[in-house]
Amino acid sequence: MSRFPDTRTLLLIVLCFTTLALALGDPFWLAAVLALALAALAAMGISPARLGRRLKRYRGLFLVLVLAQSLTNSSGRVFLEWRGHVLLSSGGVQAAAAAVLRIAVILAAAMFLSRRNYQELVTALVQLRVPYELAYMVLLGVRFIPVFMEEFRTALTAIQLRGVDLDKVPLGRKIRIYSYILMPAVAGALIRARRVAVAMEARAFRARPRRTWLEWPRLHRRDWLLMAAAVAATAAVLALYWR
Amino acid sequence: MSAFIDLEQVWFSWPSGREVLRGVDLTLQRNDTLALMGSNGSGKTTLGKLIMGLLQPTAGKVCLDGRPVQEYSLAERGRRVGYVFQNPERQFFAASVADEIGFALGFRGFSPAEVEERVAELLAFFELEQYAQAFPFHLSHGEKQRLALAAVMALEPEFIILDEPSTGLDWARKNKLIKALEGIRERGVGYIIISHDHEFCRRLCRSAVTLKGGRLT
Repeated sequence: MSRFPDTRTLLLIVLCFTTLALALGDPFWLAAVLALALAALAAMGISPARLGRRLKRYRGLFLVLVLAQSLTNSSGRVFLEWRGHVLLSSGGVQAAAAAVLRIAVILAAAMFLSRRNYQELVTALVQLRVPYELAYMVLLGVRFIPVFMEEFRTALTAIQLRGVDLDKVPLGRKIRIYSYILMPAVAGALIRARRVAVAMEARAFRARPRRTWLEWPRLHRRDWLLMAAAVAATAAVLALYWR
Repeated sequence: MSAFIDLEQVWFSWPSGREVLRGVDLTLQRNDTLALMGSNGSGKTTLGKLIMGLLQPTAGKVCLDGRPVQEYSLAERGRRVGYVFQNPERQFFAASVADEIGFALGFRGFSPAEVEERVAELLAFFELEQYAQAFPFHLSHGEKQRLALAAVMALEPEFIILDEPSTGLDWARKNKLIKALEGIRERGVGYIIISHDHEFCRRLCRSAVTLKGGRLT
């Protein structure tokens, strides 16, 4: 059964928003694009509050980005200076805001696909003429990231349960401990990858050059209209921005 | 004598709202040996993790040696209560079996000679001498279980929680594990075995409880 919007339509919308996030450099424009993305998500019934939770996870990265931008960009009005070095300037603040908003737009764009399951994404990629082997590999890789993070967290807990107090360990030893944690995470990942590969081949993956598909969604007229609107809107925003 | 592990009216629900535990009371002394049984998804592992303070109860109190378990750091909890994960691979870090057993000792100020002596003793106790230099991930499941137990025992904990230790073991390997756990019991170290395996638990535990509908019976 075909769903609206089709997964390919959503992939194009993601591509449009990502393009805008990368092409625009002005924080006000990026803020407008973010607002548009959030409105579109809300229209699709995806709560924009989820973006807030995702952004919270990256707050450490944002802090580093903001600091790096404000220290390396000294253009515009200087707000804070120390011994001739500009620590905070209007240019730095703008660049930092743009960097954070850029990531927010990309994360918001990814949320358009949050209601699509693994199989729907594979089918959509294959319909876009991506070889099915590659489509499966890409999505297995993406799906693997949270698993790897979970492995890492478990290893961190397990290492502390062996009596190692990370808060009390000096920095040098702490680095050594983190190198220990990487070992089970990487080994676990490799073992899992090997098991998945064997399981897939045991179920005849790649046994034939072509596959049959249980569902092969068709694009509706509404999908074409939505895609055209997304491309036109993206082109219009870029034209206005670069004018 | 005050209880070593004390759970008082412990309730636990997952963020999804699924209620797993409904007012669990449990009191254990240091040398108690308890089988925690129940069907799949009944909350046995959750209860084990609550005792270790890896999860926080929705309501109620979990105390370790008279103090709320959350007051201890993870490392302090680990030094006092050994926890053997359901999947032993999840607790391996080192490049060899011997290093795995000696891992925590090195961080606790033992001299290399002391670490070596203790590791040799545990390798012998758990019949792992021939694998001393093997990569832990390459061991069989039974050997991994014994290695996980050996690594936990290296810390000389006062109590151990073992999550499904007999899963996937044949009778011969299960017997080896039983022998090892009997030795631990003789040393006065108590344990909770989370398992479905009635025969395994019957041979190792003095008491048993079943988790059903979120309550202990």
